[in-house]
Amino acid sequence: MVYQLDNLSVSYADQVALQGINCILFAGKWISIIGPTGAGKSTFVKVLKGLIPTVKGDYWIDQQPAPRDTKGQLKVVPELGFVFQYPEHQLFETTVYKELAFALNLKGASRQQITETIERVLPQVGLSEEILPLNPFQLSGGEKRRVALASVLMTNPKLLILDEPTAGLDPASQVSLLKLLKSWQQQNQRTLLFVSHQMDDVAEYSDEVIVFHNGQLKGHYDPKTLFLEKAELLVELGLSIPEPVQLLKLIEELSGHKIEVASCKEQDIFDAVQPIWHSRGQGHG
Amino acid sequence: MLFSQFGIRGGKGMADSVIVGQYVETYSIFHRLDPRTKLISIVILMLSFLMLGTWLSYAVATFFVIGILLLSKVPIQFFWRGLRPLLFILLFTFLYNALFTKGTILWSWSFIEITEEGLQTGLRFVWRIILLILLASVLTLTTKPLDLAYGLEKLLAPLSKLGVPVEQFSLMIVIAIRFIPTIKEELDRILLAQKARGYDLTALSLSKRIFAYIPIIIPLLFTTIQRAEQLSYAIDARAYGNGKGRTSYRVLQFQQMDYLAGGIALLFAVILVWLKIGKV
Repeated sequence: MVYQLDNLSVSYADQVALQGINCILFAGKWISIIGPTGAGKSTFVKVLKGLIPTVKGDYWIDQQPAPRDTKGQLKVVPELGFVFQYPEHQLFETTVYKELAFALNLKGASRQQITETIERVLPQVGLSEEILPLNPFQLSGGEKRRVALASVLMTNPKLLILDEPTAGLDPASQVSLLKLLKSWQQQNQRTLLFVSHQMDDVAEYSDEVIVFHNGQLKGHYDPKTLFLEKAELLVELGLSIPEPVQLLKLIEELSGHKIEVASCKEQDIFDAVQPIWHSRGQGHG
Repeated sequence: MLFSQFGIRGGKGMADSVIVGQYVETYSIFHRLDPRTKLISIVILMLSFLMLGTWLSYAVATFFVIGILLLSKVPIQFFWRGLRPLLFILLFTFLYNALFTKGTILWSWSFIEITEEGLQTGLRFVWRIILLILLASVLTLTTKPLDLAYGLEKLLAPLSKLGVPVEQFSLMIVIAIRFIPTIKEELDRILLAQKARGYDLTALSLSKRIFAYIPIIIPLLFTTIQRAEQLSYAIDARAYGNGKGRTSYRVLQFQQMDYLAGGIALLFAVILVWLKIGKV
């Protein structure tokens, strides 16, 4: 699936939320969306899902115009999954099973189809079947979040939008949730749109990064270029530079050498830095 | 239906478009009056309407109310908006009086009799209710809900000496008003979230629609109660209720204009009483 926006603008009352957005999202990529608060990130992902009916400009899905109703307003795009901030707030059923079955029940799926889908989805979010008869409100924060995520994965989305999925979770849950999402995205060759303020996560997991500022698309980058060569843009927008990149820059500055790294991922940076660190130690010894 | 009333069809940021209450800013005299003056005057005027009897008194009251409406500078459609939902009750009141009052029969068909007295009483009742509604509308259209609550608190303050928790009650009202937009925003968010999970009201059959609000209402209740709990902790943390009462940043002060307005309301009430007693 290829999603394409052509000169798309959105305004609320007299306020412009998005202005002249042109971009193409290819399938099978983890695409992170960053920018300061109020930059238009949320509006952008809502447009993709068709949650904002009135837009100016064109929206294409696989070279076909996105579905519109008779009045020409955008309709909700069903094959897109959307996980809002704090998705556990949308839980309402009495058991986890019913919660997960909700979307498929609405579509009129059979009991067997639902059970099969649940069996497929639960491991994707790192939950076991023992959780199914429990009341979702009794679960821990991290478990609730996973149940909510699973309830969206039940629809088997081609593209999954996540709005700050790790907000409010403890560091260990954050890491495990992101790792699960990464393996879901890679194994199923799905597209994942990740809206986040956590630059460390963005640098670690992204295949592409889209930067928003004041309702405009500032750039569509490969993460290595953005974090290693365009770091001043991040600072300008009030976003942080990932810690591994800061470490790399510091060591480059201290040693006076430019260090070649494979990517801006934590492990790659450490692998590149380690030999220099060791050689420095030997020099002193 | 329930939600379309709030205008939550699309995914647009609804909270921006929501105005709590009916307040309309027209910079009239009434906007500048102390909320206490408005409250007291309204009570006096409403009580004086009990004195309405003769057609002359009705004419006087009508002219007075029309004068108030003009002074408020609020466009007429806002008053119409206040009247519209009550049209059915007005019609019912009129018919009830017209049909069940004994007197000179004007027209009859089997057991239904319409009398001259009935028509008159019906008309008077309806007319009086309309005047009362218009008067109440002026209050809500020219006073911000929070000012109204504050004015009410100050007016009822003496009751706290008798052990009535006036201040707590007023804080409750203020919080309720303050959180209407927040809860609507939350509602908007939940609606979008469920929509993203395939929830679509319009696609459901009528029998299923009765239960269709559950995915919206339960999360809404849940987050609202959660928020209320947090708020109560926050209020406690600021030592509310320990020792002295709250003070206000803005202190209400009667101006010359307030005495004048109150005086006019009182004068009008006296005129109506005089019309009643003198049977003019």
